[in-house]
Amino acid sequence: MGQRVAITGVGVVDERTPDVATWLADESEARRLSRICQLTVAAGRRALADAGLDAHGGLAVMVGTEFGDMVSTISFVDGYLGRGPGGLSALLFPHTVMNTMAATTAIAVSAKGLSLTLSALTVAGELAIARAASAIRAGRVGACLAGGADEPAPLVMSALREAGAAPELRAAGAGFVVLETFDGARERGARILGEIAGAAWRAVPARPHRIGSTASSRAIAAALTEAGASAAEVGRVYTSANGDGPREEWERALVDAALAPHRLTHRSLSVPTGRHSGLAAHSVATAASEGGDKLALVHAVARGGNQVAILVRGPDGSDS
Amino acid sequence: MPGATRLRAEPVTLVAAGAVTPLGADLDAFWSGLVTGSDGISAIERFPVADLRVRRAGEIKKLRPLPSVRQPACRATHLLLAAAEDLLARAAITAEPARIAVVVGTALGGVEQLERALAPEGRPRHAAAAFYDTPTHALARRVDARGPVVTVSTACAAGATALGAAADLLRADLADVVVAGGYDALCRFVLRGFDALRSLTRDRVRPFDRRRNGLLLGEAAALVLMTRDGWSEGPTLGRLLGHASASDAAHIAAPDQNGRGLELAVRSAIDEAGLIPDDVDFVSAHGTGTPLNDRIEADVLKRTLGPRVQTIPVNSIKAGLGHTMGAGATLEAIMCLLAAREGVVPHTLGLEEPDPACDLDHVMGSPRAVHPRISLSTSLGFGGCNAALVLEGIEA
Repeated sequence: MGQRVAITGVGVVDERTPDVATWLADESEARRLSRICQLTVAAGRRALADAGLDAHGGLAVMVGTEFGDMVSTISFVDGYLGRGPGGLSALLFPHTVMNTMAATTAIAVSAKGLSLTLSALTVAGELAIARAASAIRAGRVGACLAGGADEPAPLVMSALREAGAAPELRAAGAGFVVLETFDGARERGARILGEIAGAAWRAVPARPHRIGSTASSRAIAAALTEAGASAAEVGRVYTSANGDGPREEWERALVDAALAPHRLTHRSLSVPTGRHSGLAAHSVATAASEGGDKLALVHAVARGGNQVAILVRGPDGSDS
Repeated sequence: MPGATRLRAEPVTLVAAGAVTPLGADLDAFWSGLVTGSDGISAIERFPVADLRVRRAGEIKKLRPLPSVRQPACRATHLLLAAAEDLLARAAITAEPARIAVVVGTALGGVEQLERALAPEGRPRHAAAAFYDTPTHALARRVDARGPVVTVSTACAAGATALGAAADLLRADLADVVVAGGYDALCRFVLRGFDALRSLTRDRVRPFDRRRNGLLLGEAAALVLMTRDGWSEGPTLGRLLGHASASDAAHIAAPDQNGRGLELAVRSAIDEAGLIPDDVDFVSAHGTGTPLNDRIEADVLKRTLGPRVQTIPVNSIKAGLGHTMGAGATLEAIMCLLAAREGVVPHTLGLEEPDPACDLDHVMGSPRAVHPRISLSTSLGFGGCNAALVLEGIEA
């Protein structure tokens, strides 16, 4: 069974969040960081403040991202393509490495445990949270900022469209939940928002950038097994729907098949704002806060077949 | 902050390995090149370098065509699939597809494709291959993996992080078999970047040498087939006993001056392996040949391994390969296991006058005949990432 995983804080910001700058240390930090790193650092600090957690010591950071800091990467390439060696920026290059958001956040909050970046289309944020929950359950990590960040670049959107992806609502943003061992959270008197009861990730057969033809979901079954729960105990579903119609239909089929004969209303938090990998944290925190005596399923599936299922229990069900 | 209580750290088996490196097209060429002291550094031929300050690197001159698939336009994907072909030639994957996982580490993914997309004649579709996880999914299709498929990055420590993440998947019973490793390809983008940071040397790479003044880049892909202990029948390469990662939380592009993150990673990995520092027989160092990295590593090894460090062989293989970024730590882990099997530790090319500040038992001049049963492999990456692996080799 392993350690129980408590949710103790959440922080989500996007381009419309008015006070992002107030979560940055000073103008110097704001200048040093790319926009996506600013958002990620702000979300991380906000989540830790919400959790009342001092990051000193072995806090881990796990960031899921679809594209990393592609805006900085494109700027770096544009710089030397347009202006030759004079266009090179030593400041920009470290931000082109995939783990820049995790690294800048770890630096900003003095997190000295594992700092890991996971990349995947659509499901990256959920994957980071599921992976963090697994690491805590296994005793590898005591506490973790887990979530994601994205900043879609127009070139990337064009590439996805040419690769066959449907139009989707996307946004720039970042979000984290603070996950801790249940015992650790209690020991420090933390407010417990809920619990990750089970989490799993699998691949559903599908061609790259395409949806699959099967509705058979092993991730949801595996998450239910880890939670020691049946499909009947799931009362709410949060999906990754964001305007890609065929993918949404596929996700609906996967979830409905896994929870059959129960058919639940699906809700996506991506639709009003546009999706980014940080919204996974928003979904998990919302699933916990809406409580009730049933489990909530936070689910995501990507074109190409990556699938993540996270079962969340609200604070009422987490007290025992 | 309340800490974690570790449940268990069961060893996992590394069944077989495959690689493509500047030393040759497969694992045998990699190993023979290491023990014969071959230098894989050469003038770059694949793309224009006239406007680059440093024009040499560990470039792979010939890539074998891939069987039965359309040749990928993306160099990174081609490297990864070439390593997969080498791996599959050495070991069959017999698990159900749903129980096969893939974990791949990279620093820059298929970023060369982004440069193609942004060039005047470029097309946006080229950028799709620049996504970090595109090569990983190509590998997953090649090995018919339908379990977890994960792309991880801790920059230049990613090849170690991938093996650790793979071990975690096996320990959690999320897969029976994991194909894990790392890759990165040379391209103008990455050469420009390291050049901008003034990290590259025009001299040769000299890890731990008092004259060292920088690194050279390389390209490679390396994969290992991992299972839980006892799952696989037949000969194996060895076992991963422990792994750990820690963050400096200090600087985006430079390691912590005191190496505190690396020290934590080394101590944690040895602890997870259920060993003590005295059990370590050999250290495969990150050893980039930059002044700061090598001094920090030497200090950390002295602190963590104690006085006995003066009798523990230490090497770095980056002088002959270049710094292969995401592939580096996986290649070094494989080297540790091959050293145990073959009874010889490759020497550190370019090391002739050891820096007194890095006074370790360097393997220099020629390979050393020794059977290192327990190896420690250290890695560092941008963003203050540190990783350590503790491996157990098997004598032939």
